[in-house]
Amino acid sequence: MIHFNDFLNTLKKNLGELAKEYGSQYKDAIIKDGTDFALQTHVKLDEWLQMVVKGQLTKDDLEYLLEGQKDLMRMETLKNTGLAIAQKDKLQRAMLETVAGSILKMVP
Amino acid sequence: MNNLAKWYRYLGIAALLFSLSGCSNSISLFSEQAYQQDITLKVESLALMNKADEPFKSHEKEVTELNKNLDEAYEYAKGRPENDITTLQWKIMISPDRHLLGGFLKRWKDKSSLSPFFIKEARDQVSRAFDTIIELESGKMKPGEVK
Repeated sequence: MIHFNDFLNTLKKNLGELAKEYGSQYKDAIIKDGTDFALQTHVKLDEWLQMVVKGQLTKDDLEYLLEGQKDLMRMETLKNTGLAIAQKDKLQRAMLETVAGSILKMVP
Repeated sequence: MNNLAKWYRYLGIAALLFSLSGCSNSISLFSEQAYQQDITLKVESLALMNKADEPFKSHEKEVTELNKNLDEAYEYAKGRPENDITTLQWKIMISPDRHLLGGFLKRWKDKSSLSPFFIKEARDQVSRAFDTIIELESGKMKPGEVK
């Protein structure tokens, strides 16, 4: 049977790899997203296990859905990483405009 | 003289900011076309997933058409500059070897039909996965914000 701790360990490993890929500045956001997601998954896993006992979900279906949760977590993390980069782009743009505006004000 | 010193200082800061913006990771600008495409594909995909308790053969043409539209969305994302993150999201979404939309459609084909509870749960995952693509697109800088 699938154990939640095994699933959590795989998630943590994937999160670590993702944090390396996109730079340490996004590490905190990536870890927070991962933790939140793991907690949500725990609730889902309990529900799915009950459905397996009731015969409304096969073990094969359960394994597929767990893999789906991992893919979904990766999607969430990619989204948050992208949004953090977009925010950084906006801040850089605003700073450039402020500097340029200040320079232009000094031109006689 | 004092003004000239300030002038040089501002120029130095501007040069530093330009160099920083050029060397760090950036992300593509918002695309209205991509945003609309994402929403349309989400609606079409979830509607088709609802039919997965019926034989795959009865819906094979619809699946082929949807796959074609999904491939187009992936290729469009791939072709936009600095759009690696969204492209990777699409790759995860449509890959038959993964466990979101592409995986679901493959599973439907392999098993001919799927159970209602499984469809409901998988559909929820795919819906949330589409939301991540849509939310990222809408969070990108709008072309009007770039002067």
